[in-house]
Amino acid sequence: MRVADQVGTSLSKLGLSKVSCIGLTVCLLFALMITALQAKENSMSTPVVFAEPSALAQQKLLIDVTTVGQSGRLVAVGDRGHILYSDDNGNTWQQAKVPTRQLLTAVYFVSAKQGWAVGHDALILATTDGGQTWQQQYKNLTTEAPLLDVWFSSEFEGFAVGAYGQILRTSNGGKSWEDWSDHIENEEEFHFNSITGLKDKREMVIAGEAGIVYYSDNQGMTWQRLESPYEGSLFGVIANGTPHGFVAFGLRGHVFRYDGSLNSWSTIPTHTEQSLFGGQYIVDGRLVLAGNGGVWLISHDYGQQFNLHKQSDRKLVSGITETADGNYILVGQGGIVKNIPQGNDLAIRP
Amino acid sequence: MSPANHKDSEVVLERLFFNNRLFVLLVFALVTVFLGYKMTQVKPETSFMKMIPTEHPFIQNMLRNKDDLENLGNSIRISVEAKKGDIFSAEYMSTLQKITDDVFYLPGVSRSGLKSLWTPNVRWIEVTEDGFEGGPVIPQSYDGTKDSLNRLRENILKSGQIGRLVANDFKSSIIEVPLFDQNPETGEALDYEALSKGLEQQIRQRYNSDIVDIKIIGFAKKVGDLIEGIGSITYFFAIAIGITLVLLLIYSGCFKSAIVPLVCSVIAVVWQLGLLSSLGYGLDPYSVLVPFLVFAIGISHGVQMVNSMGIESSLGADRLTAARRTFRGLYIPGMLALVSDAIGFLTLWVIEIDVIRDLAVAAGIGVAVIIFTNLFLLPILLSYIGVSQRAIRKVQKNRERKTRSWELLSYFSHPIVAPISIVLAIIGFSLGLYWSKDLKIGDLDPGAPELHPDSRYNQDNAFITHNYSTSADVLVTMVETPKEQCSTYATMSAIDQYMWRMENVPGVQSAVSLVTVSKLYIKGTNEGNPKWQTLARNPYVLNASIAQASQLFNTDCSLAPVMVFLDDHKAETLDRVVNATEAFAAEYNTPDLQFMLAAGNGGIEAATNQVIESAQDKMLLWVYGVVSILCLLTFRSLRAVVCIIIPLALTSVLCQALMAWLGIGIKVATLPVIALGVGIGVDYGIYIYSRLESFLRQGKNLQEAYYATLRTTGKAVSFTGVTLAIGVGTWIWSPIKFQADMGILLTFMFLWNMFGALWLLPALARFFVRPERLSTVITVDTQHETDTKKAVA
Repeated sequence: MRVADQVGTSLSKLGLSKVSCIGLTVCLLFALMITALQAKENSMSTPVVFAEPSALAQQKLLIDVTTVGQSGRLVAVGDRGHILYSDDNGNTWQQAKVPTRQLLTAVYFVSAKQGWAVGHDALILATTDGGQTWQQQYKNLTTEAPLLDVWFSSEFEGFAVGAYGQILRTSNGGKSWEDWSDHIENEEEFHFNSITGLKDKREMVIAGEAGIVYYSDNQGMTWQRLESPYEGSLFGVIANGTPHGFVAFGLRGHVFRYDGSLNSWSTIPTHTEQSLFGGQYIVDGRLVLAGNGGVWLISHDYGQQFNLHKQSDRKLVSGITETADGNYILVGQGGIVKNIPQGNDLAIRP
Repeated sequence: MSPANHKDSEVVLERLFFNNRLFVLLVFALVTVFLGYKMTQVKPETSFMKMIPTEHPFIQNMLRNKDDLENLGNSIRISVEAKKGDIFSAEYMSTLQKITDDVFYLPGVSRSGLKSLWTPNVRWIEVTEDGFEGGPVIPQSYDGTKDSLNRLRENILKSGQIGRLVANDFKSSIIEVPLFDQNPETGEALDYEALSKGLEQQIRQRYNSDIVDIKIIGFAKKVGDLIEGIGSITYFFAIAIGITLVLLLIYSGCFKSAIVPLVCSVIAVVWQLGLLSSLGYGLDPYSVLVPFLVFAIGISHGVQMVNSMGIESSLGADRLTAARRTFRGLYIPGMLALVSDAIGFLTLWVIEIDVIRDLAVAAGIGVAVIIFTNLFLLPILLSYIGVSQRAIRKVQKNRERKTRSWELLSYFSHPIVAPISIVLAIIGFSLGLYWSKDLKIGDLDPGAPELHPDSRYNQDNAFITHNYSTSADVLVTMVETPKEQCSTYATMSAIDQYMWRMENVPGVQSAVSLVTVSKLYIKGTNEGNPKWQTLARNPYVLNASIAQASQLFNTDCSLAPVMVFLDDHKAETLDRVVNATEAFAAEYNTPDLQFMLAAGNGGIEAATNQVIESAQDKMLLWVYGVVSILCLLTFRSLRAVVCIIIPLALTSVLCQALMAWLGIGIKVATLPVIALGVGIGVDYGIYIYSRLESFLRQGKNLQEAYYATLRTTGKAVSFTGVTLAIGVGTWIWSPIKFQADMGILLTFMFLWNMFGALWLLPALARFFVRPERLSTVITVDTQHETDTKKAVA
């Protein structure tokens, strides 16, 4: 009340009557209270914070990179909400407008325009302009766990998977996301590290912690757990271009190929003990994988054999894709690196 | 100035000294012996605290958190380079082991923190199906065979020490040696000198061979090298004395007149050092230069005395009378000149850095001492010794001969030459101002700015910065929170954001804090998967993630330093980082989360630069203000002030242009140069103007008066300029870079100030001094002077 008194006295000095002074003071206090309350309210609803544009973004941690449909555009996602896109096969990159500064872990495009990215805080972002601007579709702070991968079978139907067995499904292009964990048995709450569709898009595979692999032949309505080839973590799973077949990879250079016709696993030698974190099925039986210590692998035969490459700086790479001009774009700890394939890994152009 | 008063005081002082000559000599002898003894106890001192602006808010922040920042700071790094091949040889590894053991036993080393490939705290870690696996990089089974060396190579690759403990090219590895500022057992402060000697003798000399090459860097080593540099300055002093003696002999042509000023000036130095030591001061790399100045200033006053003694003797006075007259004639202008020197030095006080304030004190004491030794003692000594007949003859000869060179110089006051000089001076001013636009604040060279770029320390430093991924230039921002709040998600994400801002500032290489460690730990506990390499919102995960980063936050988790590694320590780089940090702090600081500048060498230099930038103008204002007022008081004429000050100002401007041209920045060491240069440089102007004025009063025209001035004091003035220049010129070869910089600049200032006084002053006098007014108005004074002269004679 001391403040009010002082306000009163100073006002009375200005020649106002005492009554009006009290009235004014009360009004003032009331106004103050309201502003204080409003301020509190504002601070509780956090305003949207966009990723900062930075020339350094392409030299810093990026996790995943993909080629966007037929357009040939490349889109990479990573640390601090950085999403970068390139329309000249990875020579120059622009930074997209992204409403988060969180680490993004995966990106997937279903067409030249429509794509999704997921990340920490269980964020799901979507774009309808080929990756130049992004909107938040989903966020969940309560789980304190990241989403780790996203895959869409059409522009409406898709899944996002993540840590501690999170799985979310949408059937309306991400307008709403539904918790799908009731449809998959994962009592230990192992991480779902990766999800992909197979040659037939109704078929899907999830791979994760402790070697878990799940398979669905009905667009993810129901999932069955496959026998695991490995007790260590699988960080990724990608289709290999054969009917029902796929390749899963993970800790310490382990790569396993699932033969869809024989329903059996085979271990693929990689000649590396570095963990493999990301991969992509390109086309024509060509698969690429990337991992710790700058190692990356190329297969030209649907994943039966891989050729080993190492980045000279030995920095971790976790995302890899092929460009329209037949080169490879790798992303990871040191940002974006463009690689021109050599020897028998020269990409065979159609 | 009332001559009557002078006369009284002169008479009192003169009687006091000359009627008790033996007693006075005895007192001087006793004081000299006592202070000489004290002088031997003076210690080299390189207190870190004194060299930084302790009152600057950055440094205040740093000092407030000193205890918590300690483990960031004082360490040395010893690089052991394999001369043949790489480090994976049994020979190299066994040498490295021996060196590590020897370093372990050096005094002052914090043994538990010692790190090398051979210490058990350097480990490799690997993620396997069963979780983490790890061990010391040198396998238990190490036996120097090819197999175990291969294991070692693999372990190093897995340890993440490449670029830190192992060079990027595998040709050298580092022993990291943290030091105790205070010995935990005895509580004694770290003896940098002993440590540095230990490193040289027991490590570098013992192990440098055709197998390995040793390189050592770190603050403690730098300080050791500086102390060594202070020692070598003694030789320069001897050289300066030698050269001065030769010049004195040439100048006076008489051994007695050469040796007396020399001895008196050396006594002045003894007193000055003895007094410093008695007052508890040590000799730091700055104050060690003061004896040179004291010696040179002493010589210049001594020369005036001897000069006057010769003149008086040649007029037929006996030794005692000549000495008394000399004392009487010179003690007032001598005092005036010395007082202006002292005031020039004292303006250094505006620089809020202790080492410079100590320099001001040391120089002030030195100048005060000269009053005793060279104004009082010297004439008394001369009254016994006298000057030789040869010297007297030389004076007589000079007086009779119409010296051609002085005649030529007198044309500087000629009505046609003077305007040309003024135009030249204006051009000089403009060019000087134009060039000094490039003048930079701060240190411009890489490495340790105190030492020469090609010094061994800086070569070692260049080797290590080139072969390892760590920069020697780091600015530390302190992030303060309430207790136990340094690891909350809110704090850590703000720090993360800050680090990213910093990394985007040009000139920043990287930023490291507990966030860096946290992210790597979280990624590590998630099987090395980069998709997890970010801060977790879960407080338990966050807390666990920084457990290994104990050096990056304090014990009660209320302070987390962010280390911003820089390309260099140029002022622009530091400015950008400071500005970006201040902008960030303005945006993010709350009562519970404070981003505060600054520690690390970058932080200290940023603070120092700010202090210097603000002190620069202040000091110029003070030194010129004070000197102008002094001149005004002495000559009671604004015109006189203009004549004396403008040549000085021209020198200052040209000195700045010289600095820009030589790539010397304005820094702690070069800022005092202006004050010293102007404070001492004004003497020339005072001597010349006072003579000129007195001759003008006698009714001579300007050129005649200037010619007469040159004949009487021209030689003494030019000799003074040369002695001073020699005194400071020897510093140019100092192993300490900033002493060399000071040497170059002061030599320039002393010589050019002398030149300015001889050349520009008479030209200015042509325009500003009106001889008619002087000669008519003050005839009474002149009359009086002649009267007193007659009376004395």
